[in-house]
Amino acid sequence: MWDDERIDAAIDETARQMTAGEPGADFRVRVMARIDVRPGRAPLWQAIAVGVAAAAMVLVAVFVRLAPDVPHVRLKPDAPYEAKPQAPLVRQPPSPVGGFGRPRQPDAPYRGATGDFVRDDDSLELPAIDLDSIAVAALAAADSIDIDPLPPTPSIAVTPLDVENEGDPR
Amino acid sequence: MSTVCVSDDDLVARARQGDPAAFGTLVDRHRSAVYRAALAALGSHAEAEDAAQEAFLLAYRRLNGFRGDASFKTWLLTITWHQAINRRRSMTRLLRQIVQPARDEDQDSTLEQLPAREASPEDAAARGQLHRAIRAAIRSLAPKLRDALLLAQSGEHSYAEIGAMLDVPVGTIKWRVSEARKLVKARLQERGYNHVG
Repeated sequence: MWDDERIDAAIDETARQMTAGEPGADFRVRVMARIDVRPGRAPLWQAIAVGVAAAAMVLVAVFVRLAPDVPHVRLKPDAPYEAKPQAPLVRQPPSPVGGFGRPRQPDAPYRGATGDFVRDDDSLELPAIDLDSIAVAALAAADSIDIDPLPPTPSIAVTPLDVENEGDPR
Repeated sequence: MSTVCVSDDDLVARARQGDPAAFGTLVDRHRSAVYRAALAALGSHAEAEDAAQEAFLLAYRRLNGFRGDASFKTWLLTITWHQAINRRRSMTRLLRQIVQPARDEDQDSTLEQLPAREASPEDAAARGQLHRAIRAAIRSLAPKLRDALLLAQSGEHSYAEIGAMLDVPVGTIKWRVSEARKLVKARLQERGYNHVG
């Protein structure tokens, strides 16, 4: 026999038990150990990294000392760089053969005070093309197409299926 | 110097100035509340201890961000809850559960050790069976309801603190606790405890 009050008390007690407990006795010590609270003290992993790096440097130094001597090759010093005087810049005449089969003319000087470029070369003007208009003959009217009527289709006799007991689970 | 009468705010101020002992005192003061909150979320003593340590560590690092809008305990519990929920959601924990499904708090011996009010062994056995059924029913609740019920019954957290932790109003917390109780009772009835109600 379980009455409501007793069930409520049991629920409370069980829930309390499910969250009952205390952290370990050295909880504070472990928390404080994880917190780097001491100023100027490097963490342990940094000390380990520095130690490993120092040991590696010592090993490299010892290895270099114990390695067999290699004859030194003295390289000649580089020749001093002497700057040569450059030839004065001379404007070259245009190429006798242009891109379109005729000699290329030098660029015309800038004449306009308003920023317009003026060319005295009018050879780029194309002559006017005088073509006759094309006369298109009118299409002849097409004759109408005669279609013969289809023969009448005989009717199809459909026999009803016997589906009386189909789908009956019994 | 004794820290018994020193307020949390004073200890926080001293910890901010680089006094490790002040933060150690805060750890001692709130370790139980932090641990139980983590245990309510995670259900494992080992996980709860790890999460509690992480929470204190995080709180120490964020100490300068504590503005004092809420109490230090509420602020600390909010950090703890987020830490525990992140841990609960993590894939690592999921894998651990698959590999090692037995949870240390599953030991029903704690319930068997409860002070028995019944004289006869039959009553004690029936009571133990009831507690096991309740425990199973609580575990089967939706996380929102289960969290509210366990935190409310932990004895360490007020409704206001629970509301701050779960980021819901106090009224919602009370409703969730009540709803959780109803569902637990309904599931007990399904298990044959027909006299409930």
